[in-house]
Amino acid sequence: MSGPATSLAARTSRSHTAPKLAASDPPWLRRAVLGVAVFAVLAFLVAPLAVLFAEALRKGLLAYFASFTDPAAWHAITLTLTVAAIVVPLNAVFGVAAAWCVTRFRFTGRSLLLTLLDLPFAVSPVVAGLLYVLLFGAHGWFADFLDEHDIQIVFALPGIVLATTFVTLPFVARELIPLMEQQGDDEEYAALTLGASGWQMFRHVTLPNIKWGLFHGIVLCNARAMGEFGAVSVVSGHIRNQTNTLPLHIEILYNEYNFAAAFAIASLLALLAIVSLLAKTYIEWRAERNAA
Amino acid sequence: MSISVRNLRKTHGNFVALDDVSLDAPAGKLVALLGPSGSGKTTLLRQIAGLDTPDSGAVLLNGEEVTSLTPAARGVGFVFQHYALFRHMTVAQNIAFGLTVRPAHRRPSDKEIAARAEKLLELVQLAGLGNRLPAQLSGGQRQRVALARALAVEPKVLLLDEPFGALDAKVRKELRRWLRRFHDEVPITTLFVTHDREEAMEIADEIVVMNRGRIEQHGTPAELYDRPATPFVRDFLGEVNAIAFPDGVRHARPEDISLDPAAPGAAKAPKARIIDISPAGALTRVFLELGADRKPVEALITRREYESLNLNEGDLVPVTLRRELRVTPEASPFTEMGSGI
Repeated sequence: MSGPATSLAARTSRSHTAPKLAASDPPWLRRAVLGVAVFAVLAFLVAPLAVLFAEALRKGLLAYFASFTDPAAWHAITLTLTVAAIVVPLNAVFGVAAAWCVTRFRFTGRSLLLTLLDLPFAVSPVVAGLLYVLLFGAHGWFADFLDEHDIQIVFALPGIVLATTFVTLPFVARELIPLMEQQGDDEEYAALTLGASGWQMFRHVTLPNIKWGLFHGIVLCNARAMGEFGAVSVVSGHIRNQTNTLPLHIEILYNEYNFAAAFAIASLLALLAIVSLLAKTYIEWRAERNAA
Repeated sequence: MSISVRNLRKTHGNFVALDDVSLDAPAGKLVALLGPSGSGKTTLLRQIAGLDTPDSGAVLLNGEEVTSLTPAARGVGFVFQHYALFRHMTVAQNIAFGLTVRPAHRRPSDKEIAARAEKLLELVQLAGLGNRLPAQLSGGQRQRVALARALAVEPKVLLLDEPFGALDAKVRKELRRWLRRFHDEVPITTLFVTHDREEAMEIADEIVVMNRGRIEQHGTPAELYDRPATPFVRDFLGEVNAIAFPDGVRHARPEDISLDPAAPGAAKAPKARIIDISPAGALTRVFLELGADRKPVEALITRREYESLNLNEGDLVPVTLRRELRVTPEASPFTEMGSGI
């Protein structure tokens, strides 16, 4: 994950050096490299998207929209939105707090915290899901306690929220850490010497400075929270109309050979991804303009 | 309002940043904290501001202990090396910040705040630039905005961390003269950190020389230059020659070295060979080599003297001292003031 600032820097440095290097290569090589790149983009990005939407619309617009009115599909959409509505704010707050700790303080265990932040990226989501089943499942460590208090975590909303939170944990923090490291803490200290309270400092100085990075992180976190399959698949139990999120619902439809509906729902997630990318591009453009 | 520091100690792991530092900066003075990088001067400034807490020791403002108070409660204005202006706020908003964050019962009206900001902009000679963003200002202008912002809350003392460090040479010279005049108009006790001895000598009323977390000497620029208390101060405050005479090594500033054969004692003086002469400007710099081990010696003589002596590269001339530079421990009256507030 690179912040807007770092990706901007990479882009500018590339545009400075690229013409010189490319110009010194023979024309056939330049065309060949360009051809490979164009082919890769077409074959791996554009073609699947085109197929997705073509398949989704194969039986016509009516069938396409009918896929969404199906109660199971509607339930999956609501569940996915509910999960995202819980997980994204949670991880936004956690991400800001973690980035704050790591960039503003030097303490023992700091590098451990940094490593832990990367854990969800390193561990397979399926393993993460299994961990929660081991902890909170019918035969898990806390099974007796949960039974006594009649709390259902695995195969229910709490389990899905937990697994999704775990998987999307690093997005906001990873976005903010390089940004806050680069900005330093002088402005925050300046606010304190001028009499600002901790909260005033955060609201008037820290937050405005990190807002684009934070927004960027939230967009990515949200996209992943809605699209997460592996971890959620393990803890959800695939109960239709109860614990099926959008990605799980797509799998079920697909396994039932209901391709039109599967692709229709999938196109919804694809649209979400496209909107996320557009939002991300817009944010980077704004950040670039603000920096200039 | 005076600034005092008592037996301040601060360590970072094994590194001793401040080692039993005591200091008194009298009210209304412009005092420089001078030293090489890593000498602890910025650390000391941050302790006084309350941006950092000492391991032990006390900070007193006007005789009252403030060691456990927050920066705001101490009433210090702090100007950061890289200005630390709020980048998303206009210049006027930056200056007004300290007033706008006040709790409602102590906050002036919006009109009053705007008027105060405008007045401060005039004071730092930036009238009319209130609507700009910090990024649209030059380095020197940003520094003055930072100063205006610190002054807006009417601090009792002003602390400046390398105020001219990030500016180019020409702006730096202009701005430090401006600061001197500014301080004469607004005589608030000011402590500024610098590693540039010329800067400190030019504008400070008093200089505190720091080295390795300790204060080497505290005195007026002239005292430090002419009567250094330690070899470090002697070497740090100006160029110095160490010349081996038959009766031992003596030190002298380049301007206190005479190359005149008619000077008293010249007949018995050691002789040095002139290897280079740079006669640019009002003073002429003469580079010599002394004795068999060809020790470098530098003399600074007036143009008139240079012409009348008819010096040429390759000449062998006697080296005498107009004035010897002796290290005189405890020379400064300030080091004895330590116990009294």
